[in-house]
Amino acid sequence: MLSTIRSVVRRAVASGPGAGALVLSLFFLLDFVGASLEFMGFSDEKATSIIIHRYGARIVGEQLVILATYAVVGATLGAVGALSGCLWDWAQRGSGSRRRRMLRGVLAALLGHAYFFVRSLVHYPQLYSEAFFDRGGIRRTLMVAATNHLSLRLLDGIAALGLATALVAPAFSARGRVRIDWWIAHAAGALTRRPRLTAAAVALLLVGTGAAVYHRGHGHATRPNVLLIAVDSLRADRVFSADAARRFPTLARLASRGVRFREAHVTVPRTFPSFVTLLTGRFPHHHGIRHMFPTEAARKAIGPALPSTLHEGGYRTAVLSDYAGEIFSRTPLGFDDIRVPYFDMKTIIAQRSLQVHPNVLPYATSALGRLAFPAVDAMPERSDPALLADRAITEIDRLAGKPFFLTVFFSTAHFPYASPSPYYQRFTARAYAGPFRYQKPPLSTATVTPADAAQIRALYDGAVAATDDAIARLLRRLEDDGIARDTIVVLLADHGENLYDVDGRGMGHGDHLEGSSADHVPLVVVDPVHGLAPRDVPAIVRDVDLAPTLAALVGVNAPPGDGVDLGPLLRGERDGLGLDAFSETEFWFTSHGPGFEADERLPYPGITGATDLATDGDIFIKPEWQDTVVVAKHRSIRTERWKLIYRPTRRGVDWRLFDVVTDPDERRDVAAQHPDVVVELRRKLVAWMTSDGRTVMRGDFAVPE
Amino acid sequence: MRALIVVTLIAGGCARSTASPPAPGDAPAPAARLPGDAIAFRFVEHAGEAQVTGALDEAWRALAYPAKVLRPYGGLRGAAAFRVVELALADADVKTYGQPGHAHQTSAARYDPVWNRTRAVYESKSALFAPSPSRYRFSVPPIAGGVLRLAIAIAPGSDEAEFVVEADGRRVWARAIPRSESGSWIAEEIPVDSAREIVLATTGKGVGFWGYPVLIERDAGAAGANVIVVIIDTLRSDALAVMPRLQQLAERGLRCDQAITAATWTRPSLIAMLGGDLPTTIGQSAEEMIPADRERRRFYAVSPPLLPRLLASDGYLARAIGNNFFLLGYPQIGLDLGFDEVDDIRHPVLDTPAITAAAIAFLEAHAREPFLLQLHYDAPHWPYTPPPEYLARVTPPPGFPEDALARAYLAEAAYADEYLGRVVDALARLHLEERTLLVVLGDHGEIFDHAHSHTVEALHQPTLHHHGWSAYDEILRVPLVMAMPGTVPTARVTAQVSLVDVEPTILDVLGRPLRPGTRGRSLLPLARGVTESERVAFVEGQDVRAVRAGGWLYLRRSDGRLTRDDGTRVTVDEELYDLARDPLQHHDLARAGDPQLQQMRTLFARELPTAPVAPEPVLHLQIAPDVRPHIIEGTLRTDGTVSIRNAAGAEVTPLDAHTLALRLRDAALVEVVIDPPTAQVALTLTRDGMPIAPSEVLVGGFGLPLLAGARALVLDGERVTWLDAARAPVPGERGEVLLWRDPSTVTALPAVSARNNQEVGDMMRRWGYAQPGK
Repeated sequence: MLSTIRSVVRRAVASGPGAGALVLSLFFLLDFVGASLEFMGFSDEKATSIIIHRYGARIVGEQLVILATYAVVGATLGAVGALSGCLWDWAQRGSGSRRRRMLRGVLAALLGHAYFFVRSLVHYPQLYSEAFFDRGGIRRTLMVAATNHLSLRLLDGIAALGLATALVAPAFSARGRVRIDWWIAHAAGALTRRPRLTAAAVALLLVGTGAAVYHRGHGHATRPNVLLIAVDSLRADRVFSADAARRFPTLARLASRGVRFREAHVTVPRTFPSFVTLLTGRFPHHHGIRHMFPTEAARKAIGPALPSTLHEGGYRTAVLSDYAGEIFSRTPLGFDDIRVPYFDMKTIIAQRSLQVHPNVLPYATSALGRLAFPAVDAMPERSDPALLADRAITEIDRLAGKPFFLTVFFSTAHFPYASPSPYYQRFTARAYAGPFRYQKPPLSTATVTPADAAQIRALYDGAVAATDDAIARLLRRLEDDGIARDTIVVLLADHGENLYDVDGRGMGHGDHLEGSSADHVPLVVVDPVHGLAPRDVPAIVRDVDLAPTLAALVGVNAPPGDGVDLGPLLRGERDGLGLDAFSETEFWFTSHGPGFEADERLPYPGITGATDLATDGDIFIKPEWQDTVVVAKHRSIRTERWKLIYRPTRRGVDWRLFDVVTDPDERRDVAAQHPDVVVELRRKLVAWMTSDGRTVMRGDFAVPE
Repeated sequence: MRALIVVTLIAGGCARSTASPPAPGDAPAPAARLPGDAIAFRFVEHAGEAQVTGALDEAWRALAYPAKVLRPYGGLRGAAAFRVVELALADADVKTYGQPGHAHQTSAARYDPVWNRTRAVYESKSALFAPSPSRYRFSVPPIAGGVLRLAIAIAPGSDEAEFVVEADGRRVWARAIPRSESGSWIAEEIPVDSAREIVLATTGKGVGFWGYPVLIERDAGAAGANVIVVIIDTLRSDALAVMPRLQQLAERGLRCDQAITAATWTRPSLIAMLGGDLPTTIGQSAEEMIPADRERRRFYAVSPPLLPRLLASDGYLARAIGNNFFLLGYPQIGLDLGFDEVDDIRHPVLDTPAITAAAIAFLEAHAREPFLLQLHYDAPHWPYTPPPEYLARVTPPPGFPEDALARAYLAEAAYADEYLGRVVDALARLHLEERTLLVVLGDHGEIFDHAHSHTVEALHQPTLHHHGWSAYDEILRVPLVMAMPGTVPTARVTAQVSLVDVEPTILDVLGRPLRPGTRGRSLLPLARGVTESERVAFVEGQDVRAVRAGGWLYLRRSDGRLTRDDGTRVTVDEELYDLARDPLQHHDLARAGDPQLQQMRTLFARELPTAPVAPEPVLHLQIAPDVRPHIIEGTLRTDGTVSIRNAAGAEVTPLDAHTLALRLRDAALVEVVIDPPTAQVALTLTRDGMPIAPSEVLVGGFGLPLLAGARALVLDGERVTWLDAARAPVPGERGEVLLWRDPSTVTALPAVSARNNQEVGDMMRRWGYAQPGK
């Protein structure tokens, strides 16, 4: 019995696929050498025991799938090696020994893996930076050398050459040439001997192509389609500024064809509350999502939103996104199709399981591998906008024929600004030697030097450029299919971004309201259906105005809300609607930071203290902290001329006034010079803050009653 | 973004677990659903989650209407407490409930300034308070074919208001109420098919109310069997002899021949019956006719799970119809016992047919929904004024006094019995018998035996033709009948049982879990013939308590001074009767020094109930940690009384009942209770010898310098509520002084004024709780 097994194993290993599978399976063990000692990333003992208790089986399962992946890839590569060996043996009329067959399998597996691994490392270095770059030493040197000197094209060229040598070259041996001539002669003979069959095949091909073209060309809609292109963290200046056209040509071109709202502001500069505000047309204290960790009950209580009213108006509604769009999977906003990653504790487990095995990442993140590793879609390091554009094109093909409302939300420009090759190097300096070579992780404690800041901005611009190209692809397809003329395209962002461009404001969004980099967003409406002429609208408009505007534009009921229809501005009938924009900060993950230092905020615990894990693995702010988190928010009101900021602290409320016309960077507090303006804006801001029906003013402070 | 943050945090190894293991599935399986409709959403229970706009508190304070009170249940605090109110409105025409040609005249409805005691019909509802303009936005479960049922009203004399219902942003219904129709409820049913969001908006100038709105799901299945509890006030067990309909019912169900009340007058008896335990244990003893403010606060703070609240939370309608104000929150004599709607029919004679008519109308309207209906017939209660025809019909049973008053009393019982029969007939007609548990009982008896006649000096009250302050079997023994064909066995239980057993029996019949630790026990085992040891009956009254067990009755008075009918004054602190030999309780064995006395005293002491501890609003004074140590000294003074609960790292010395001297070091904590919670609190503090300014004291759960503008560290009036904190504030690390209070569960209640007391005196005389002129 044992000897039988031994002989089977020996034979399998000696075969090419077997040897390949074995070699790559060794990588499974190799990965653990030098891997982080943290258990699945959790260093806390209690957390570890809970994770093992609750998700132990899942962790083991993930590891088995990874091992199987290694084996399958190894076997496939080994099979290629074996095939190549057979061809060569045939060409040279020889026969390989068992030992040679095994060696060929091993060689093919190693060479193949080297190619896939290096290619993936150059393409998506962020996936590997934890295992190589961040550890320094030879690992960092090798990785930097690879990304600096190797390009995808070069690697593909080498691989093609190798593959050709392995598989095609035997055909050109003397024996191969004879064989090929014979095949060509026989194929021609077969076709001429069966003319009817040939004609039928050709006809079928033609009809099929024609049908496909007809299908695409006749997707005429009774109502205009709406394509909402949302780019995470996209600053208004990356669309509207003078040099935008050079760096981000698609965004600039799109803007040149549409109505450009130059002063569009969001209320909460963070994805989750911002999207709910955009799509419901209600302020956060009216729809209830005020931070990114709401309870399940709060998510269910959001109420009507634009997608649901569009659905009732006969629209097919869909949302597509990469990692930052996971919020849509947990939030009922009325989308018929929600094609976004799912994110919960199980996703984290799966992602951590993968990150222990850098060698499996090239396969796990491939198109095929994602079937086995869906958690990959929720990885920020793998949010290639080109992939999302491809998915969006497929989705539009599917939706066309009935009016659709499609939201495509690109995550790549969100920190860590992890864009694929070549974008991460497009604007960065090769000589840069700091820690943010490929990405800028959030909450990283490293001090940021001016060189780092420049690098981070370059990474951000690279991510915007990657998104710009992806949008170009999407729009081109829309034009080619003839759908563009029936489609209103809206370009916007859920929020902007601070990029160390002003001292004391740091990086990120939603932590403070100093300056407007985070709440000022691009908003462009391109409407070929109603023939809206391109123009600039300099007046203030808000996120809450989007839903009523789009609803009016396509002729459906707007969800009840706080916004107004911007139609008069779109059509150029009016220059402004006299709107005031309001903003509030979101949840603070840390006890202090630029713009929310200890004396600039009310204290509450950071994320680990204030949140809890629901039984389904969802994370939410504990009920006892929910009110505190809201009370501590900074808030602001912005008019065409002024911006007033409310900052509650334990020393009292800090009111600051900025003249946004003469001081657009908001550097000089002029509250003391304009007490009457402060009084007037304060009255408006207080009315806004207390309009939820449960907030009252106690002295200067807005508190729940 | 969120994903990224979390991954990063966890990857960084700084995540601390906040997970808890999944809750074990300890909830019992719900009772089977019956065919019918379901109450899918009760708006008043979700008022705290609604988004509300409107200046409710101001409008409420400005509303000069007496029959109103904030609903104490539901845990709403601060200004949110003004959302749910209990409002009683008089039916515009009380005569509609009367019988044509009846000798008694009725007066038109009017509003008493303090007491709602005019002969009229008052419909009281848990309602959303909706002064114009106001909006309540609710997220509701979407129900296909859902119907919103509610009543609307504007306050008596109020200006016109328009009521608007929006479903998912669309206006689906609107109705304006003009001034001429103010002061009465108008019922409405509004289809709100599959709505996820419902807005109840009021515009105009008037003060509106949304009376008990509920969302109904048709054919979803009723939550369980219905319950009807019929209370016939002051009904002695021997009066059953003149009540043929009740006898018939008893033959079809469970009849308890020896049912003992838990209290000698109505309110505590109701509390015991609805709470399954003695009134004191539940939260309000039988001692005080008018609960003091702190008693009332304590009762609501304990928030006892009375039957109406229990069943309402399971999707039942909890409705009471009767002539009884003890279960209402707005009269000072009553306590809100958790019914969501109460029809209070105030007439000494016409109430009986009117209650019956209203009950039958209720049954017809709600036959498909699960309900708890409590009917309260007042007929046998003083004054004994039956319609004359019943006087001739009754024959006093053997041993019953034969005087005219006794005959009038029995005629009242017969009068109630006839109308009880109509309710029973209606149940049969509506095919509700087999899915409705019908409970009929008396809440206490009445003294007719002249041997038990004396005056209780402590209360200046005579006992003859009264109840409340004596505890002989005449008062203790009441009828108790339960019927539900097919479910409740037909049985005659001769063993002693108590009215505290009613609530557990109802829960048992409904298949609901019994609450552990209550004195009451289900009667079903007895009905099935299970033998068990005797259930000791303990009875509470004013100035009197009694324990009845083993064939003995032991009675104890707090103040034993009595005046006999012959004018002699005696002091009788305790009495003892051998029930087997002396069923009429004419021979007190306590004075004879019977050997049983000591045993009964021991039993009495063992059974004596204790009051529950109510959550109290504890005031916390804390010094936050700092890098360098501090010493904080000073005084805390209040115009109420202050008591110390805890002083960690502090020296606290009471100077008098109102003042504490404080000395705190480092991160010290002082916890005190101030009574009443509305009392002013004044602090004088120094830190390391330097006075602490009001702006340096962080107030409430958010730790805010709310007193920054004040001259002194004084919290009074509205500012006292600023202390209330759902949780302790974040201490910070700067040696700050933090001051906060655990929330009191009840908002400030109106105080009882001297004028009210006069009104109460009138009231009690009218109701027979006090003699004229006293």
